[in-house]
Amino acid sequence: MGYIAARGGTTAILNAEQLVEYLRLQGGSTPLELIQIRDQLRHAVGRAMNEGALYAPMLAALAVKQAEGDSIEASFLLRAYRSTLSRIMPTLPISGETIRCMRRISASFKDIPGGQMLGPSQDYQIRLLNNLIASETAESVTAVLAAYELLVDTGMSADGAIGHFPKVADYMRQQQMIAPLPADPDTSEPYDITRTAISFPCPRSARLQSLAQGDTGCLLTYAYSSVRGYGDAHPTLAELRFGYLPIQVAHPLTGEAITIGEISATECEIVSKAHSVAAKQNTPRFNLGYGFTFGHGEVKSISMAILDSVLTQAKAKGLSGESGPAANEEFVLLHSDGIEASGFTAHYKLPHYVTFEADLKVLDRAREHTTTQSQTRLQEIATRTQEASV
Amino acid sequence: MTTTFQPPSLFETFCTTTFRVLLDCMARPGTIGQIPEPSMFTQIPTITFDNQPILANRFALTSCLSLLDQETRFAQAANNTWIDAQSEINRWIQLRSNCRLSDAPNALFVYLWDSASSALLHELNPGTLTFPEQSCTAFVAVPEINDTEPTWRLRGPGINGHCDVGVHGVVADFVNHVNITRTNFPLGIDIVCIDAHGKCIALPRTCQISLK
Amino acid sequence: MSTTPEQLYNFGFIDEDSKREVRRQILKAIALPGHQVPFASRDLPIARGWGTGGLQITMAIIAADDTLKVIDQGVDECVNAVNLRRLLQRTTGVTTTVDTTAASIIQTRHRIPEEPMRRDQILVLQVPMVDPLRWVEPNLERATIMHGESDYGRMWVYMYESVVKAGDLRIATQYPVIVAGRYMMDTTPIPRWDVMRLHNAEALFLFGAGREKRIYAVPPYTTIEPLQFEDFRFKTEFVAGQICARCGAQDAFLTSHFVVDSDHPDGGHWRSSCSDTSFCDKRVLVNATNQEAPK
Repeated sequence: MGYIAARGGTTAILNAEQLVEYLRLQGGSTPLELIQIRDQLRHAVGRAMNEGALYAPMLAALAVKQAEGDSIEASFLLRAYRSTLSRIMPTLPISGETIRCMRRISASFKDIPGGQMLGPSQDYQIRLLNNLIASETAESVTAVLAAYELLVDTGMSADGAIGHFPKVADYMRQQQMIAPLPADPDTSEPYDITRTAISFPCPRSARLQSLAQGDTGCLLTYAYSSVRGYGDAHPTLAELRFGYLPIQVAHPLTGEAITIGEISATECEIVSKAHSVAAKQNTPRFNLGYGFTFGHGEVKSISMAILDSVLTQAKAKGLSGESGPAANEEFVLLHSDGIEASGFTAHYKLPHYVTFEADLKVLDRAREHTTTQSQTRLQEIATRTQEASV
Repeated sequence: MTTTFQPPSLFETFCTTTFRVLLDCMARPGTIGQIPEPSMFTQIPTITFDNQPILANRFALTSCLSLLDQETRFAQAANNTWIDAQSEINRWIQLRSNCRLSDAPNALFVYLWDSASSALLHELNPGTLTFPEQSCTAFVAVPEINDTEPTWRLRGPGINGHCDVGVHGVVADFVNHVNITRTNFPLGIDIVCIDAHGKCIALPRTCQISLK
Repeated sequence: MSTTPEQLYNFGFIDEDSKREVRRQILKAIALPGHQVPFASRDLPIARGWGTGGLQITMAIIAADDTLKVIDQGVDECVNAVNLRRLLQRTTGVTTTVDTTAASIIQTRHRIPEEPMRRDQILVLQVPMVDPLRWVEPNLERATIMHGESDYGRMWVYMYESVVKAGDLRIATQYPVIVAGRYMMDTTPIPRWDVMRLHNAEALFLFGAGREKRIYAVPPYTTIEPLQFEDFRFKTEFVAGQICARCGAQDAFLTSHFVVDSDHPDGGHWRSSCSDTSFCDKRVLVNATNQEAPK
C-alpha cells in the first residue's frame, strides 16, 4: 500500500549497503591492497589520521578504501573506531627538535643553523600530468627504487638518516625575538577535548587539540581569510619540518621514559608581526604560532600555525590578527571539525516531515495575518476615500 | 540479528543498576529506592574512631563507585572530620575506581560516613552561576529510611505536590545543614542518603525540605 | 587488527568510564531542570546530527532487562530509527518493541508518543540545537552567561517581533519554554503539539545533543511554561476539524502524505494521518474489532 513513505526501513537499509558495495566493485578491477593505499596514497592516509585523530596507518588505509577515497568519511570511520579504544595514558611531552628530519625549511633566514633541506617536496615541480605514472609497472617501480639507492650511494642522505636539527624558534628565543619558553613548564595534563566538552574561554592546549583534528579545507579557508584581508595576520614561516618523531611514555611503575615507537609528522612554527602578547609587560616580540599534523601535512600545519597565532593575538588584544572571522576563537573551533560539520549538514537528508508540518501551520498563520492586514488597510483606504469625497 | 557485545561483568551490572536507582531517586525526590547488594566486594572497610572500629555502610560507599573514575575528585568524612587522603580507606576507594583524592572544596563527590558529618556540607563546592553543574554530590550514610513514619515533607520538581518520607537516627541539625547548601539556586549540593539496608533517597538542590 | 569479521564491543558500545561521565551529567541535569550540562560526547559509528546525543544517553542508562523502542517522526520503521535500533540491539541484545506502553526506554527524534508515558518509563530525546538563545546570541560564551543571569530579555523581544511581523510566534518547533521557573530551554524539534506534554508529566525526559555536547532534563512533575504574551497565547498546530484518515483520531498530531490512486486525475491525493504510527495502528485494530463485534 506504500502507506508511510519511510516504512520498510530495514530492507531499504540492507539493500543500500549492498548497492554501495556493488558500486565500489562494479568495474571488476583488482581489489586495492591496504599496503598499496598506505604507501601510494600517503596523503589520503595522513589526512584520515589527522582528522580522525588516530595514528594508525593501516587502519587509515582501510578507512580510505572503505570510504572510496572520501576524506571526511575516512576520518569519520577512524574517529568512531577510536571511541572503542580505552585511553591508557598520555605520552610524555615531546619537542619537535627530536624529529629525524627528511625535510626542514625556514623562510625567515637565508641560512639557518643546520642548513635548509628541501627534501621530498612537490613545491618546485612543474604540475604537468605525468603519463609515465599512468603506465607504471613492477619494472619501473624497481628502477625508481634503484635510482634512489644510487643517489644515496653517491652521497645523498637516506630517508630519515640525517638526524636532528636545532630549531629555528630556539635560535629566535636566544635572540629575544620571541617570548622565552616558561622556565617552569606546566607539567599538568593538557586539556583533553575528548574527555571534557570544550567551553569558552578555552586554554591553548584545547585550541591546539581542536585545530589538530580540524578539517584541512576549513583551517585553510580561515587561515587564508585572515592573511588575505579579513584580519591582520602577517605570518613568516620560521620553520617547517617533516620526518619521524619518537614517542615516549613514562613507565607505569618506574616512571622512566620509554620510547614506544616513531610516527611520521609535520611541524610548523610561524612568527607574526611585532606587538606580541608580551608587549605590554616586556620588550616587543614576535608572536609564535604552532602547527602539527600526523604524516606529511604541510598546508594543514601552516594553516594551524597561522590560526594559533591569530587567536593568541586576539585573546591578548594585540594589535595584529585581532580582527576578522578567523580571530573569533569560538567561531573557528566550533565550526572546523569536518566530521561534526558534515554530519549535521548531511542530517537534513533525514525525514523532517513532523517539523515541516509544524512549519506549514506557522506559514498558514503568517499568510492569514498578511491577508488580514492588507484587507484592513484596503478598508481603511476605502473609508478614507469615502470620507474625503463626502 | 547478530549481537556483538560482551556481557557486562558483575561490577558493571551493579554500577548500572545502582545508577538507575539513583536516577529514579534524583528524578523523584523522596521516592525510596533500593541499592543492590554489592556482593562483589567481600571485604567492606572499617575506620577507627576513639579506638572503636566503624564499619562503612556498604551500600553507600559502593554506590559512589558507580560514578567515580579517573576524571573525578573524591573526599570522605566521618565524625565531622575529613579523612586524610593517604589513609587506608581512601586507598581502598582509589584502587577500585581510579579516582583522584582531593580536599573538600575541590571534590566532585564526597562520602559522609555519618549524619554528624553533614555539618561539613557547607564547605563543598556549589558550582558557579555559569557552570552550576560543576558542583559536588554528597553521599550520606544514615541509619534508617522508611515511608511509614515520615519525618520530612519534600516539595519541588519531580514531586507531585508534596512527598513525605521518614529519615531516622540523624543529628538534629541535619536538615539545616542540607538547607544551607541550597539557599542560592542554581548553585548547590546534591545529596543522596542511603540507609543500612540500602534504602536510598535523593535530595537534589531543587528539593525543599521541611520538618513534619 | 582483529581477523574476526565482527568485533566484540562493550555492552552499550561506549566504554564504562564514558558511561560514568554521561551518568554524572544526567544526574546534574536532573538537579538543574532545563539547564544545559556539557558532556564530552564520544564519536559514535553514527554521524553527528543523526542522534548521537540521544544514543549516548541510551547507551549510558540501558540495562540488559530494558525494553527499548526507537522512533523517528513518531515512526518505528523510519530508516533512521531502524538504524539506531540496529546499533543498540547489536551492542546490548535488549528486547525491542514498537508498543509505547511496553517500553521502559523510548528514544525519539521529533515526537513525544501520543500515549501518555508512565513513571517507570524514560523518554530520551535526540537534540540538534540545544540553546533557545542561539536565535538571538550565537556566541556560546555570552549565551552561557545570559543563562547564568536569567538574562532572557532579548528572547522576549525576538518573540514580540515575530508576533508583529508574522502574526504568530514564528518558532514552529524548538519552541522555547521556561522550566521550573528558572531556565529557558529549547524543546528540541518537537512540534508545539508536544510542548505542553512535557509539563507535570509522570515520565522523566532526558535530552541529548551529541554534536553540541550537551545534556539536559525535565524531571517528572516539573512546570513547563511556553514563552507567550498575555494578549497572544501559545498555540499548538491543532486545526479545528482535523482528523486522521486512517484511525479517525481527532486529538493527535497529524502529518500529510501522498496516496497513489490511479483513478484520480492527479494520480493520487494528499491526506493526513497520525505521525505516531504505533498509536494509529492500535486504534485501527480496535476500530476493526469493534466493527466485527456485532456480527
